Amino acid sequence: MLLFFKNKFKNLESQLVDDLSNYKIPTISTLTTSPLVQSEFETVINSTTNNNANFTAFIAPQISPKPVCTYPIQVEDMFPFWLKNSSNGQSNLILMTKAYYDWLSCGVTGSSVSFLNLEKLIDIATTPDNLLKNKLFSYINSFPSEQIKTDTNPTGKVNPENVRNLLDNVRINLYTKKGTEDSFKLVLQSLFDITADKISISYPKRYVMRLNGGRFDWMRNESSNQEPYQNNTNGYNPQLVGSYLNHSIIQDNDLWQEYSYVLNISDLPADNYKEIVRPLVHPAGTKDFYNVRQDIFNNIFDSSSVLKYEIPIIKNYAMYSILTSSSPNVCDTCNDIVTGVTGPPHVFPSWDDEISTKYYSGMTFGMINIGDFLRLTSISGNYPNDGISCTGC
Amino acid sequence: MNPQINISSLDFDEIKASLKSYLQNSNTEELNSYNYEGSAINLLLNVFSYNTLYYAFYANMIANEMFLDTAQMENNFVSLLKPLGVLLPGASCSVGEVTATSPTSTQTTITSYSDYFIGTTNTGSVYRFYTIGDDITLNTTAKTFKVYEGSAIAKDLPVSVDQTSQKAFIGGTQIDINTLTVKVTTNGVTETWTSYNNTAAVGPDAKVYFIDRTSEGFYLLFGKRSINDFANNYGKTINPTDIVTVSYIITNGDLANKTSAFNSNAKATVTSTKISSGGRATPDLDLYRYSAPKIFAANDRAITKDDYIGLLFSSQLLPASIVESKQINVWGGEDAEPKSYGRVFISFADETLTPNNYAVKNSISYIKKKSAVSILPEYFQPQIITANIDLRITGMPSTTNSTNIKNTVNTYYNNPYEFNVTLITGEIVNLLLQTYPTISGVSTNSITLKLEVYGSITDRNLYYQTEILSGFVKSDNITYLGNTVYLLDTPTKYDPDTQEAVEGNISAYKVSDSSLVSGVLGKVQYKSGIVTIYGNVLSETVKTGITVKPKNQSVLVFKNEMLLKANTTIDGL
Repeated sequence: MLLFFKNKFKNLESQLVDDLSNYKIPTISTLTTSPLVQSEFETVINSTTNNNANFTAFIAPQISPKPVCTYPIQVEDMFPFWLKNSSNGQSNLILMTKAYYDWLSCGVTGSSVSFLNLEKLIDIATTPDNLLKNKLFSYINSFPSEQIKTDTNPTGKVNPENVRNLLDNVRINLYTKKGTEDSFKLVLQSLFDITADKISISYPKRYVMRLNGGRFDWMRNESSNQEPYQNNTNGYNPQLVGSYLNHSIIQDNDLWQEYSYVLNISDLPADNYKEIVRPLVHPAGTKDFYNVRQDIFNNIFDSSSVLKYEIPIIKNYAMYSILTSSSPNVCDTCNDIVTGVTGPPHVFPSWDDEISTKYYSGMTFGMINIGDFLRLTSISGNYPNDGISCTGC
Repeated sequence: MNPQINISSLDFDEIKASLKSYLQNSNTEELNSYNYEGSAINLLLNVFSYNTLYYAFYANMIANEMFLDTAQMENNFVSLLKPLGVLLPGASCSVGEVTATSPTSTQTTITSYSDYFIGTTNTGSVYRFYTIGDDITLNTTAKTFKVYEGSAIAKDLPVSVDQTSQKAFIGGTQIDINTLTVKVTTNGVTETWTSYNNTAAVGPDAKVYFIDRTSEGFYLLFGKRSINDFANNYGKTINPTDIVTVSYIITNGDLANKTSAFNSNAKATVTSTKISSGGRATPDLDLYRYSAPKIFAANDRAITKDDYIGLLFSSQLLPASIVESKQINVWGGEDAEPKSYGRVFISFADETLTPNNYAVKNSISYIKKKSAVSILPEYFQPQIITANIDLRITGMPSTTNSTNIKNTVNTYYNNPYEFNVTLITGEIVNLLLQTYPTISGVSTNSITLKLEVYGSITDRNLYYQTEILSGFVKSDNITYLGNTVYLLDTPTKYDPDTQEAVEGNISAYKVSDSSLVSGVLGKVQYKSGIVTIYGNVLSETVKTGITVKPKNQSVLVFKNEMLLKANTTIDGL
């Protein structure tokens, strides 16, 4: 056979001898650097033998995109020529060795990473999902890796692709902005595929009662004779007693204080993102709230995830004295009986869970512990003040 | 930390079975028709399987070394930390603290990298401790400073800077790179240059250098090119006529730890010392595994809790006794009791460190510059809370020493004291059953918690951070109104639904006959675990222990400033 090639392809003789002596058998790809050579080569073989099957061991197939379980190197080419040509080109050793390497390429563990493609671990884009947590350990150490959704952790709340998005250029995109509103939005948008308009960050301190009566934009339009704040350049003097003050909320050292913020996201329950966002961007020393008081903080809100409660406002209780033991008539306050107070009176707060445990017949307003009065809740769901208004008074 | 990566099985039989199965299910007729139990083909299968095993081991090792959380080799750590902007040191000096005055009425100067203090370890070994940085002047007013153990010193050693690469090499990793001082003399004027950090003014004229570590030593880099702006350098370049000198300490590492006795010398009279610690022959990889990602994420600003921790570790200003990751705790005012918004609390796991310690002050001052305006970082002295764990052991053979059992539990929790520990009785049971297989059963009789406090003219609040039971709040014996008494609680207010005690009073009873000495000397809030002792009740000079019994006897979480100390007994002994 070698003689045959010698005669037919003199220009390849030396190359063949060298390659054979080095066990480096040329494949069709190396032999056929020229289409002309390839064509002549195949023609000669076919015309001579009429059975090119006998030469398949020698003529390696054209290299093409490999199926998943195919070793990327021509294993059979590693064997000496005499062995490849034995058994009519069907050497069992070669066959098994080739199958072994095919198995190596993907049959060992079923993992997408093996010792043949360890470079996949370097690039975020190709790191397997189950090893993303190792990337996160270095670059987003605070990320709770158990929240990544993988085949082995189907309850995870974040898709691996979204984690990759966050990892990408994390220093510039996230760490340089940490603690800002943008950083919260970036994390949420990257991880949960939500748009910025669904995320609101609000500050309860805007609503907290202050000694000066606290004039804020949100109190606007309570009275038609007041100018919008931004247009009020003509010395309008706010009143300390009146609707502005009465809308404000007493500090409770929890939600209603200087260092709190509220993150509201429509369509995404707080449980899904709270434990992820908090360690990444929550500024230490401040109090964080998630998906609360949609009625105050402007957002579409899933009320089912939060206990409802009432924050008492002065205007609704201005009709009470410390000796009051029952609910005033609704229209009394609405009719401005107490100067400057126009809110409808709310029901005596014995319906509150805490106050109800201490309530007794004849208990007066003055006997209520101020701490119990800061936030009124009803586990039974009975909120008697819902719907009370001055309409019709 | 994530578990070790295992991308390929290392079980030979499993590998062989997998390969065999693959071949038997092959589409190739020859392969799926072989008898794989035959001797020849079985031998071939063995060879392939062994080959796979070697491959798999190698692949797993490479995969693990590619990630910070699973890497084991120091050289790979060096590489993995570089993208995070963190330098892995070589050896670390044992560092102690010395408070000293001038031995005479005149001022003296301790020359850094030259004058030394002789220190003796607890085992009697003697080492030299030096100062670094600027020279220290002493007068009759006591001054506190750190001292670094050194086996050899380089002082103002000239180094050669390659003009093209602007690099100078310092060989050896036994250098404590944190003791390095670099001086550059230009036209006869010598100035100290600083190691680059994110806060240094960066520009072509900044007198900064960078440090790069290799397995052989350290490179100093000058005039580093900016990645984003090739027209400018990070830092000034070294000219051929400039003279660069370095000073540093080569250390004995951990051998010099626990040095407490520092002798006075001709230039300093030592008035007090703090035991040395932190010396290591090789870097603490676990510490860097913990802190480096936090340093990277902080980006030189303290916003989140982890930012504070990362920056403190990178500051080089920590007290000498703080050398491990769990020795720093940071919590925001929102997690404090009572709530203190706008504040961030930092605690070091060394109860002797007060807010007035100079290293504590330096650390807090440093972190304050990094935190947001209006957020106030403050030091909170740690509080040791003793958990008295009384166990019942059944089936204990006479050959088992009960002291060993108690020590096993105590060592598990106390070595060293750590923050954020959760005491789980199930863990104790498992620990003992595994350590002493001959024991047939372990259970807990009770767990009580004890805080020790000094008295004050004002009320003293004790926060146990867990709900406590009424009738079990009891003090050590104290002297009150001339009597030897103990304090004990009496519930005064109950939850109307559960009838559990909500509030109670503290009264004093004579030790001799348990008769009441004084009525209300304090109060208890059982639900929140707060005990208040009124002013002028407890001694202001001797700590008094107040013991309570937590309602939860299975799981106890100790957070914030609490350092758990386990004190184990068996059936009260």
